[in-house]
Amino acid sequence: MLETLSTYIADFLRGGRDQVVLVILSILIGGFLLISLVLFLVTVYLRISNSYKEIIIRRRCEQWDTIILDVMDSSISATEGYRRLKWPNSIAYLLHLELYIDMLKGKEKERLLSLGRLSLNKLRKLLKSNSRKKQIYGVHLLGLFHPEDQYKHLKFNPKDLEYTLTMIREMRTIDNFKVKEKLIGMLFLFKHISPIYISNILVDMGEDIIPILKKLILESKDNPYEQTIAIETIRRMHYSGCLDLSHEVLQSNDNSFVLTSCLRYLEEMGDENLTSVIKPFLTHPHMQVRMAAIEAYITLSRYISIDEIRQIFNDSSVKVAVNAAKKLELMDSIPYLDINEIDKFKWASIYKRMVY
Amino acid sequence: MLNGILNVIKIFNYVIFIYFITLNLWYFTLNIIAYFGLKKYMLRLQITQPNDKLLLVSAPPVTLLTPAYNESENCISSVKSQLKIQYPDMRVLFINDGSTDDTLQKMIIAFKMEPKFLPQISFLKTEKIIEIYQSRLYPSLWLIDKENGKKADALNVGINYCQTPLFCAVDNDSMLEQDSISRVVVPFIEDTRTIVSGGIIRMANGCTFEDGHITEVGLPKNILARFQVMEYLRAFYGGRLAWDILDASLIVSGAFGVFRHSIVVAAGGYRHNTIGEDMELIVRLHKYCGDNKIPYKIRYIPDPVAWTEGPTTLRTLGKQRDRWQRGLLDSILSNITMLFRPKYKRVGMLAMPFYFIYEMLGPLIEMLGYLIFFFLIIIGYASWTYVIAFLLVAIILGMTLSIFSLVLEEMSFHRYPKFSHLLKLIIVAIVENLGYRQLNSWWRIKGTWSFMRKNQNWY
Repeated sequence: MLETLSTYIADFLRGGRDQVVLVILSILIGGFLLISLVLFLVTVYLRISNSYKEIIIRRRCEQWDTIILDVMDSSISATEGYRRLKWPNSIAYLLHLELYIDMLKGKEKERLLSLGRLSLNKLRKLLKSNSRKKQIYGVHLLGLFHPEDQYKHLKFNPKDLEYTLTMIREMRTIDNFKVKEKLIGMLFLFKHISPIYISNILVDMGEDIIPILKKLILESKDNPYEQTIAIETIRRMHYSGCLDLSHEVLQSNDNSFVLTSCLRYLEEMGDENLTSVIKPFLTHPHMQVRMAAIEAYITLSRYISIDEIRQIFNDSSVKVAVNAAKKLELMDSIPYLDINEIDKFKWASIYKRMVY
Repeated sequence: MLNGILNVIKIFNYVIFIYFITLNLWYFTLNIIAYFGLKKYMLRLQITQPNDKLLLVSAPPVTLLTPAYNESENCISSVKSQLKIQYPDMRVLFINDGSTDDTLQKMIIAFKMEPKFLPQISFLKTEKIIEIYQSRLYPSLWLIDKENGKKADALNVGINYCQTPLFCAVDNDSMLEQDSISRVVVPFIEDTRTIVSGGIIRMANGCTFEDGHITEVGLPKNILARFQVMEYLRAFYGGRLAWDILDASLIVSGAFGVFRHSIVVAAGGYRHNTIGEDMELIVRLHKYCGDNKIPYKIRYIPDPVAWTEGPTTLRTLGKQRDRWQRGLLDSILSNITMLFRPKYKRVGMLAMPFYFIYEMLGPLIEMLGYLIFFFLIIIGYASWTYVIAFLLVAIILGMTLSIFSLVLEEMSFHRYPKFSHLLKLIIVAIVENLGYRQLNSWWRIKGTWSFMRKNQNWY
């Protein structure tokens, strides 16, 4: 058989004019045919294994569901539930349990968290695993069930954004001030993540981080990114104790992002006494600052003069006019302006269609 | 004299051979890169689900731009499905591009649209706006009626009236999955340098839809559509995913891509006089950011899905491929200065040369190769052995790459649920190399020819 095949290949090669090319082509045919065959088998294997896994997980979930529901409504204790569970330390079980936890609140959630905590030994093992996949699962699940424990076992690597950010995210609800301080420090190492996203992580950390945020606003003058996020977080927390600090920042800072977030904070937490602080920024050269200042000014003062309207609707940026118009739409009364004068505005159509 | 010609042909034969080998090695490498990227992405997806509360509260507002021309038949179902997309802050901007049928009337009646003022935020040059409407039933739905100016012009109108920092360009005949937008915006949240993010396009032929939702994924009965299912898998898994990992994506499908509004406006919006406005914009954005030293990322995410109907006749498919080839040529040639320029990093040094040499010239070289083979056989210079071996390599390589895409599909989202689907796709992976591939090359050559004919004064 083998002899016939080799004779055939030899004959085949002799038939060609360019032996080298033919040899290469023959190798390619054989090589890629083999690769195709392997890939085909892998595809079939994956399909079978995926289907099998789905069936197994579905069956297991049915068993887990009954026990999880019993623990949830306190029919059985978490320890009893854990004892009855099959594969109570599997990643699939813990991810399934997470689905319930995500949907619940209060005591029911707490009961399921207690059930999950009984699998902590397995989770610690996951963190020490050599497999990145298992490590990431470990970080995620330990963050859900016991963030304090997670902190003890983790090594942070700022170069590995995905891993470190996952850790910080998962640990954001940790009940330890010192750890939170460290997490915030690490969070600011990632310069390209959306400030809103970071800010939302910080909001979830709770109000006890406000002193850290205040310190950042005061001391990070060379780092507008950190200052902006700190101010934005305080705004999202609806914390009104930073009005003086914001005032101070407005006086001393010239970064447009910091100024914008400060003005937004004042708009949300301030009162009409602050309009004199905001007024100088109505003519700021940066469009975003101007826009935030005008919005804050209209919201807080509840009054606008004809000169100010004229200035806003002759602004170089359409966005300033549009945002101001949206705010003015909500005002009870605005000064009367003659239509001929409105027509002279740069953004006359916006004033006429949205405010007039 | 004849010897001289034969020597030239012989050298050219070697060139074709080397071209062919390097091309397939490239494709193979791209598939391997995609494999590792997909593995990493799948793990991440398990941990950070798109419906994750933290991501959702951080999601920036998005406007869906749906340009439509004579889409009377499916405009209502399409908009209804868009309104059902789950996303915290999303508006739909339907742009009626001077339809001559009753698209506008149908939209006005179905959604109780009434004239309303919408401020113009940017000022890209477009055809005249006739009227702007807002729906009384769905306040987030707006309709702009404008004079006909083709798709790029309609999109530019949408950009001009887009009030959000991000916009998503969607074809009217595409059905977006409910969580597609929350998935596709994740790159914008995780990296503020992201300016574009696109998702995967899958063939809707053979699938069952109900009320704008996909209820059953299936394979089309039509053989041409089935070939396209395989093509799409290969293009999106083996191609776009790998280029994304290499940070050199040159295409984000016009049927589904999210863009940062400010940068698109700064770059001048969609170009009017082009056929492939989606690719042209992406290439131009690369150029704009490179020229202005703006740090940026153009991303591709493999799981947010837009389902789209593919052509089912040779005529329409041929026209589509002809158009794609002209679009490719236009995009590459109008930004040719980017080629081999280190200033544009991997795009200039890797992606552009790849698209120029392999995607743009590929069909020409392939056809030329067939012709020379034929010529050499006629004059008795080449043996059938050589020809058969070469064709076998081409078929087997094509098959390998297709099956590789199936592996990637199986290890990730395996959307085609039945075992029979898999077997059918494997058969398609083999059969498509016998005729369909050559037909595709022919259509692309036709596209090149018509592009050169119409634009010979330009280049």
